[in-house]
Amino acid sequence: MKIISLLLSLIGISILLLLLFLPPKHISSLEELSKLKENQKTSVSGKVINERLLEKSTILKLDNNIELLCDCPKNIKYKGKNITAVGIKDSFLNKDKIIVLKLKYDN
Amino acid sequence: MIIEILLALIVGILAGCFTGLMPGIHINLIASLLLVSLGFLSGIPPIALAVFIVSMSITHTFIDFIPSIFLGAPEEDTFLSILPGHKMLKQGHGFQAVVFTLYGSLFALPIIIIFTPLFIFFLPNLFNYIKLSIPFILLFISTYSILREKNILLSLIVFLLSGFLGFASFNLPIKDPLLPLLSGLFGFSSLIISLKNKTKIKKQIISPISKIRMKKSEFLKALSASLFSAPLCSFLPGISSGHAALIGSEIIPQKNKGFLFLTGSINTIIMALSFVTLYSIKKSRSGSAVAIQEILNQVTLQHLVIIISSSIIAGIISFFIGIKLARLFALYLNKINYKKLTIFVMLFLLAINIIFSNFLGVLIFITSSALGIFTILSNSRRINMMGALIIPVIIYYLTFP
Repeated sequence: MKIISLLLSLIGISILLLLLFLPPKHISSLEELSKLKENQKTSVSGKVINERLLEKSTILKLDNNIELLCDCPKNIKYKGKNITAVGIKDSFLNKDKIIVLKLKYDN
Repeated sequence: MIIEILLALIVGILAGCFTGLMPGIHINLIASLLLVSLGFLSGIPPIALAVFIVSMSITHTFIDFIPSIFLGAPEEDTFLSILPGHKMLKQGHGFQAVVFTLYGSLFALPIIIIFTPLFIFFLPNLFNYIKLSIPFILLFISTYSILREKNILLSLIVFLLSGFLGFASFNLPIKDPLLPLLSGLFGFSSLIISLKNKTKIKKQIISPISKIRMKKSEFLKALSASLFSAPLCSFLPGISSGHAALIGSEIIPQKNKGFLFLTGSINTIIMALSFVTLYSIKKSRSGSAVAIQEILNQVTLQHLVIIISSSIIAGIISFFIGIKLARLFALYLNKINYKKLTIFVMLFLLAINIIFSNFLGVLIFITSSALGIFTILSNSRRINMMGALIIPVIIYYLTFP
């Protein structure tokens, strides 16, 4: 039983880690975002049309109406820039948004 | 207004008893249902709704040890209590085990009163310094805990495997990942082993409360550990009651009774101080604090006074309710076939994981149960499985300082 349980846990952990490192699903609309599962990794590209500074983070709204919550540097202005972000879906209080893990932008 | 607040307090206590007794039904579920229904509740003063959340949350921290200890069905705040709790249950002292956690929660109330002004005045300046030191404290505690073991390699393997499992669980699209992770590691695995070993539970002894005591030295150790670790862990994101119990018990070693007292007090202190943190540094450290922030928008000093007073009143009432409920559980356990009960609880845990989670959640549940079984059969300390929470937190703090 000891060996079986160790093997089972190793197989389970390997499958989970494999799933974790799969490339994120690219989305381009709010509808596609709503179809994702909570906490699912995703990537999105677009032009920033609105930028709202919060106490610790920034909310970026893209031209496809997707909102990104980002802990990005406050000295950089993103409005008007084309960005690509990788993050996870969050839908606190039924409002879908992406919490940014990585962000790239065109100068 | 006072009548509404009192009613909210009573309904909150009842709701907290329900969430505490039902494994898998978390206070966050009720709080989020309340938030979604705010439109329909516009006639009720926001402070009364906040008092409902507060009294439900505090009551939950008193009651949720009962299913953990008597049934082996843990939640995120109580899973560590299974370890000494189940040992005492087998010896016929399940009721005593719950009472020690209740003592801990009761003694948490004056600690909350003492720490509230300290949090208001000092926390805003100290927060960033303490936050930076957390990954290093956890690294130190984990290394110390592993090096203390007889079989260091085995403990390291269990710690790392749990860590990988925890890391994957928190980063995959799983709703409420703690449910399959902790119920598998600490609940389902123990139940399978007790079924395999044909564990016999002695007849439960229901001693009078006045006779349920711990040594003065044990009490002082448990109190000091909770005074040190609970306030430290109550305002940091990603740090749970489990982390606080581990830090407290590694720094000041505890025996069974002391450990139960410690987990009880930490649970209640962390919950109540999360409301103070909301006022002092504007951070919501628990699901209940998030709900209160949404309801009140801005927490004022007047709100905080009402919230802390409600916590204290709810805590005192919950202590007596907790004793009554624990007595009932102990009485019924004597009349029930323990093997059948174990099978029922195992099926129940499986069912709530299937209902509240998804395919990935069930995969985590199976994997964590297997790892839990391996840990028990290898005679490694089950506290090593805390790697499931510690490693993701260390990574979080090192990558998002």
